[in-house]
Amino acid sequence: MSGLALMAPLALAALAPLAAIIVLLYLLKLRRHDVTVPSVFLWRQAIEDVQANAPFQRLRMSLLLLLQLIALVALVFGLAAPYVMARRLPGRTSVIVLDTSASMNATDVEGSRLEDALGRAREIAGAMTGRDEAALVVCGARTAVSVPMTGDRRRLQRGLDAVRPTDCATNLRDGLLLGASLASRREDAHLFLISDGAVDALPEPPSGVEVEFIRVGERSDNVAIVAFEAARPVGAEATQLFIRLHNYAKGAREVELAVYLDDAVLDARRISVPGGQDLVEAWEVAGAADGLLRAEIAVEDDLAADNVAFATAGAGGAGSVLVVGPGNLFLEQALLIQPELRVMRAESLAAAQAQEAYEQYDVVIFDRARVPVAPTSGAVLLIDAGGWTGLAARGESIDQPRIGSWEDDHPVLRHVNLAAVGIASAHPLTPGSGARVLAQADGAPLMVALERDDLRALALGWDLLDSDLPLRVGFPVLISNITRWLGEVRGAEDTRLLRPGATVRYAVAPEVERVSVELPGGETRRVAALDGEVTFADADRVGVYRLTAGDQQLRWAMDLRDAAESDLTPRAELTLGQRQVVASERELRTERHLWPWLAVLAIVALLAEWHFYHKRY
Amino acid sequence: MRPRAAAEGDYLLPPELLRKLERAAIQSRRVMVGRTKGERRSAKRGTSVEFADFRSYVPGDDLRYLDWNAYARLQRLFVKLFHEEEDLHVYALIDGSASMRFGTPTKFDFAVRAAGALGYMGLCSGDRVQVYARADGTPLRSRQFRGRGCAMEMFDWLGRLEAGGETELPQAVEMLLRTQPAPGVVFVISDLLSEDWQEAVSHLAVGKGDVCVLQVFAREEVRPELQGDLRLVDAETGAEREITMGRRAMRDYERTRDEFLGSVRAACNRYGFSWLFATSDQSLDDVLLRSLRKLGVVR
Repeated sequence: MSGLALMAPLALAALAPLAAIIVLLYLLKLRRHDVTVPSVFLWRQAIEDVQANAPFQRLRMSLLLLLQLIALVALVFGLAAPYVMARRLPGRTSVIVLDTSASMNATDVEGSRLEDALGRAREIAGAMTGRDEAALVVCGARTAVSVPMTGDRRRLQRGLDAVRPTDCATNLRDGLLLGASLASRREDAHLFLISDGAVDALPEPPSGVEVEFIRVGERSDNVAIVAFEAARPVGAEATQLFIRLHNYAKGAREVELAVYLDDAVLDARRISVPGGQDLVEAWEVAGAADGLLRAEIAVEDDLAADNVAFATAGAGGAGSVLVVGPGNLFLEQALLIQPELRVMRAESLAAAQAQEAYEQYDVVIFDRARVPVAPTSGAVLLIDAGGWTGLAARGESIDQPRIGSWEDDHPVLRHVNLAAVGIASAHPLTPGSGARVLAQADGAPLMVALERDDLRALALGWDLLDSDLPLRVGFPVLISNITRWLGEVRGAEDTRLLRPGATVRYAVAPEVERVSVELPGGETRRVAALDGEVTFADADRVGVYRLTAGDQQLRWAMDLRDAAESDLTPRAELTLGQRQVVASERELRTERHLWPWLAVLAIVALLAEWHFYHKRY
Repeated sequence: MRPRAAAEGDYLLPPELLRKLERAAIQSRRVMVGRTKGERRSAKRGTSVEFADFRSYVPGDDLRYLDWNAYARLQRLFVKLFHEEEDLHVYALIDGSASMRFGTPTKFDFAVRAAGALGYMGLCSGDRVQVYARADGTPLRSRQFRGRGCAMEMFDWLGRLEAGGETELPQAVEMLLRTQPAPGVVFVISDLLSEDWQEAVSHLAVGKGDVCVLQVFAREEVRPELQGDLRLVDAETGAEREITMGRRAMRDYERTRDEFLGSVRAACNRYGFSWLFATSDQSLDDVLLRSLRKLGVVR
C-alpha cells in the first residue's frame, strides 16, 4: 500500500476555522434553563460531589470536545477525499491462465519469467477479497485447470506453489479457451493471461470475458540451436551434421559449439553468431556415429533449454524406415504420423543395396516391390511382394477374400479389427518354415509373420491400394504396431527423439508390471505398465530419459528446437481473433478511497459524543 | 357532618374516609397525663375499669375500692387501684414553607389533609387537638379543639392555611414546645428539606411528648423528571444550582436522597420517634390507616 494522497487538499483549509468555532463554543457559557425546585438541598450535595472531583470533571468535559474535534477532523479529511493505492481485482471472478512453457524459464528477470509470473499470480490471489473467486489454468505440457473456481485464497496459493517449470512449447490457445469457458459462466469475469507472449494468434474469447495480458520478460538475449540433423548417406564413410544456430540478441555472440556422441566429444568449435541472424554449421565427422548425437552451445544467455539439441544419424538409428516401391501415400502418411520414425523412400534396391539397407534401417518395407535378396537379420515388411519364399510364397490371385480369423493377441494385431476389411484381390501366402499365420481368409493365409534370433519379418498377401484397409481407423494402429514390433528386433536399446511434453508409449513384456524411468536430472520414477504397455506423460524437460524394463531399455532425448520459444522478445500485444490486447503495464492497483471510513469515524465519534453527553452527564 | 376546605369549596376529606377515621384512634406509646377525663389511660390512677395495682389501705381512701376478697383471704385491707382514663393532647405541626407547594397534589395539601384527618381522629376519640403551622415566616397556632363538634372549625382553620416562605422548622418546633399546654402526641408533617432539620428533630426530643415525623415528598422529588442543562432555583431561598441532568446526575441525586432519608430515619429512631415517609400522591387511607397503624401510632 503506497502513501496517502488527497484529491481535494483545499478542503483541509476549513479545518482550522471550524475547530476554532467548536472550541469557542465550548468557551462560551452554557445557557441553562431555569427550573424551580422545592429545594436545592439534595441537589447541592450531588453538585458538591462532582465538584470534589473537579479535574475529572474537566477531563470529561474535554472528552466531549475531543470527540467533537475527532468528528470534525474525520469529516474535513473525508471532504479532502484521501485515497491510497491498493491492490484490488478488476472483476469479481478472475481466471489466471499461466504460461509455463520453455520461454518462461528465461532468466532475464529476477529468478525467472515463471517466478515473475507466479509472483503476479500471487498478487492476484492476494488481492482477492471476501466475495472474489478465482481459478488457475496452467498451460504446460498439457493444459489443465490446476485450481477450479474457488473463493479460497490459500487454495489458489497452494495451486500456484505447485506450478513447476516445463520445457514445452506454448499452448496458450487451449489455456485461453479453457479459461474463457470457466469465466464465461460468471458475471464480471476477468481473465488474466500471464505470459511472455511468445505465441501465435489466439482465438477470440467469448464476449463478456475481459482479457488482460500480463506480460513478463524484459529482453531477448538468447542464442539457440534451432535445427540439428545428422545423416549418413547410404555407402558414405562420414556422418554429416547440420546445425543451425540463431542469435535472438541484437549484438553478435561468441559461442562454443560442441557435438557429442553418447557423451564423447566428436567436435567442438568456437563460433560467432551475428545478432538477429541464423548461422548454419555443416560439419562432417568420420565414422558411422551410431548412437545419440548431442549438440551443445556454451554461452551465457537467458534461456538454457535451447542450448542443447539431439539427433541420430539417419542410418542405424532407431525408428528409421526405408520404403521400397512405387510409392504409397496411405502407407507413408501412416508412417509419418509416428514422430519417432524417419521415413526414407527408394524405388527399388539392388541386392547389395538391400543387404546394406537391412543393416542400416530398422525396418525395410517392400511395397509391391520384389525382394532382391532375403535378409538374415533386421526387420522387413512385405506388402504384396514376392521374392522371399523363406517367409511366404505367393499363390494364385483370389477375388474378394474375407478375412475370417486373425491372431488378435499378436502385438501386430493388437487393437486391430480386420473383420470387415474389403479386399478386391489377394495372393494367398504359403508360410515358410518357422513362419506363423496371423490372419487368413477361408483357409488362405493373408498375413504371415516370421521371428528368428535377430530377424523379424511380416508379409501381407494383398495390395493395400486394392483394399479399403487404409481408409479404416485401424490402419494407423496396424502400421504403428507393425513398425514397433519389427523395430524391436534391433538391439535392446531403443532411441527416440521427441519434443518435451510428448507422451511416450513403449511396449514391454506382458509380465512386466513396473518400469523405472530415469529423468534428465538423475531422478528415477517408477511407472506402472498396463497390458504390456508403458505410458509416460511426465517428460517435459529437455534432456535424455531412460526407461528400463527388465533387459529392455528405451532411451529418448527431448530438445526444444522451437523458434517461437527461443525468441524471448517480450511481446507488447497479443492477437485474440480480431482483437489486439495490449500488455497491461498497470499493476493491480486501484485508488482506494478512504472517505467512507472517515465518515464512519465521524458518525461513531458523534454517536459517542451524544452517548457521553446524554448518558453520563 | 360536612367539613369543607374553605378556599376550594371542596371537601377537605371525603365522607368515607371520615367514617373510617371515626373507628380509629391515635395511640400514644407513652402514657401521658391528661387534663380532663377522656378515653385514654393516664399515668394517674383513677376510676376506670382497667385494673392497675393494689396498695395498702390508709384511712380516708374510698371504701368502694377495698378488695373484700383479698381481705377475706389475707385479713388485710387493700385498695384496688385503677388506671385513670384521661384525654390525650394531639398536636399537628404543618410545614407551610414554599417547598411544600410542590407535587400533585401539593405536599402542603397532603399535609393539611393529613393534619385534618389526624385531628378528626383525635376529636372522635375525645382528645384535645391543636394544629401548629408556620407559613410565610408567621407562626400560626389554632385553638385547642375538643370533641367531634369542633371538627368543622378545625377544618375551616386548616382550609385557610397557605404555604409560602422559608421552612424555619426549629423555630416552629420551639414555639410548639413552648406553648403546648401539656405533652402529647406531636405529628410533624414536613418534607424536612432544609439544612436545619436536625436541629428541629433534636428540639422535638426535648419535649416529653410522643413524636411522629411524617415526611412528605412529592413524586418528582423521589424521581425528578429533569433533562438537559438546568439552573435549579430553590423555591424558598432562591439559591441556584447549575446542573446537567443525566444518568450520572440522577444517580448522584438518588444517592443523596436515600442518604438524607436514611439519616432522618436514623435520627428519629435515636430519639424514639416514629418516622413515616410518604409521597403527596398517596392516599390518606393508605398512609394514616395502614402505615401509621403498622407503626403503632394509630390503632
